[in-house]
Amino acid sequence: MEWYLTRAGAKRLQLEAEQMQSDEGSRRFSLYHDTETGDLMWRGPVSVHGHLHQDVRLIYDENHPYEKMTIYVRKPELMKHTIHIHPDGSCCVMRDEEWSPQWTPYTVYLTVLRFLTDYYEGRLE
Amino acid sequence: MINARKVLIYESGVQEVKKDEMFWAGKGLESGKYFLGMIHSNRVFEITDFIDAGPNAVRTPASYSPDNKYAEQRKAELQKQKPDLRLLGEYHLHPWNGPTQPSSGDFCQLREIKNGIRPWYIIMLVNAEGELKFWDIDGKEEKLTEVPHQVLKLPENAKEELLSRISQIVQSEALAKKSVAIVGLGSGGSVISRYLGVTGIGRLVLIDNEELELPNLIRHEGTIEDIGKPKTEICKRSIESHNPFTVVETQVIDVLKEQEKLEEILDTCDLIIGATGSAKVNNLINKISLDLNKPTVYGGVFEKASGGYVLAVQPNKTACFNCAFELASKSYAVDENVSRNYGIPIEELHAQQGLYVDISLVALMVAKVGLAMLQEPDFIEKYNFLLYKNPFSIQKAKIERRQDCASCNFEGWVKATEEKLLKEPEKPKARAGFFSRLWRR
Repeated sequence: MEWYLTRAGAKRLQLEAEQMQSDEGSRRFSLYHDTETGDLMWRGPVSVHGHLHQDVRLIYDENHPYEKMTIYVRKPELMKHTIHIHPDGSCCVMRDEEWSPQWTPYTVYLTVLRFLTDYYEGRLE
Repeated sequence: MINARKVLIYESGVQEVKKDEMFWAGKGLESGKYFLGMIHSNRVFEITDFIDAGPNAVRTPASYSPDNKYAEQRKAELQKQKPDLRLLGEYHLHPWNGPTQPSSGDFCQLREIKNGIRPWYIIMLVNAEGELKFWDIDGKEEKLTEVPHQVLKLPENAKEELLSRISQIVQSEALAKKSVAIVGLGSGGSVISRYLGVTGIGRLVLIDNEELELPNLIRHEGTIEDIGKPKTEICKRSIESHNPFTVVETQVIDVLKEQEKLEEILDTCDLIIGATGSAKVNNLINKISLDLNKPTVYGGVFEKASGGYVLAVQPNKTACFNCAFELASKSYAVDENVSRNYGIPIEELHAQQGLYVDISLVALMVAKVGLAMLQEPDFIEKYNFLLYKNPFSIQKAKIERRQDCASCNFEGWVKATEEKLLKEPEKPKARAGFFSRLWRR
């Protein structure tokens, strides 16, 4: 069963949605279920230093919250000149070792902001 | 049905069987014997005595019937000398080359006996090449399963003598009934398995999916001859060569990819040891340990093995891995996924530094805490976290449960999150100066 269909999972998802609504930036994200892949994700725009990415995706792991979310920054995609952007286009905004079940899409969203700032300021290796 | 986990047979017994095999296989006739011994509480069957087929046994090229009257008489004589002795099963010689597979007749006979007066009964099959195998019937699926065996080059009744120097200080009978799973058999896990394996614990389940590589040699139980072999097999062999009375099972699985299987395995154990040092794996183990209510011990070393930690968890009673995440997630794991995520090339992964002696110190602490969790778990009321700092400093601490732990206190997490939502949105704790810079622009 998907994590968000359990009682605790549904409650968690509801709170995570409220968190996303609580901030001016993350409020522009919507919950989206990809019926083809089965992925549940938050999609929305992010703008950093005047660079607008219209489709940033924060995808839940099927084992949420025990495994980290997968991040894609699209429209436009980021140049893959750094090791922090995987060949499939997903972004390594945190190490596996940094993830804990305390993380939520909102905290991931904040990390994406930090990641994109580092990216545009040329601080990523 | 009572299923054997392992069979121990003494070298003298093997010789006795081989002598019978050479004699009767040469004549092209089937043969057999009954064997007797003890069933230990961890379901290890120890074969100590054999009963010959008897003077009136009937042997043909395709069948064998023992002289049961003779066997009954002989059994009574043996049991008079050794009251604990019980009839464990019988050996059959199939006088042809090829696999030592039981025939359908053997299967039916075994099933009948197991469903009747001797639910523990097993059979040993020997072929003309002298290869021997033990067979049992899986109670659930009603199918034949091979039982692993070990030949002992030791004097008979070796268990008591083997454990004689620890029997006064461990709860032998209680430990013999316990099962412990060790997840991760790297530098730390291999030491933990080796030392827990000689405490009298009944069953160890070793879980790892890697093979021994050259850089592992100076930090592992394996030797040069073991390069390329699964770490599970190396650790199993190491334990069995010191203590054959412990059942050692191996599971070569990628725990992150086969989570359901991992959960099934851990459900059969009384204690879990998380020895990968990987926060990702530990998060998964934490979830399973909370769901199954299994006590767990986590251990890891910090960079260059400059120190390490041990965290003992009594699920839903004391702090879980996630409660102590900030303290316990900083250890490093030597695994390929971590290297990829860190962006470290595989060559550099092997350069991760840490002396075996330093890693082993922390591993021994994990083993010691694991043993305490099985015997005297009350220590956890006083401390559940050990911090080792190189050189020679150990601090004990009591980590309290997080009131907002998303893993072990979901209601608390919900409450805390709701409270935060009701308040003004707080400024995120990002890198110092980051948001101020962002807003200025």
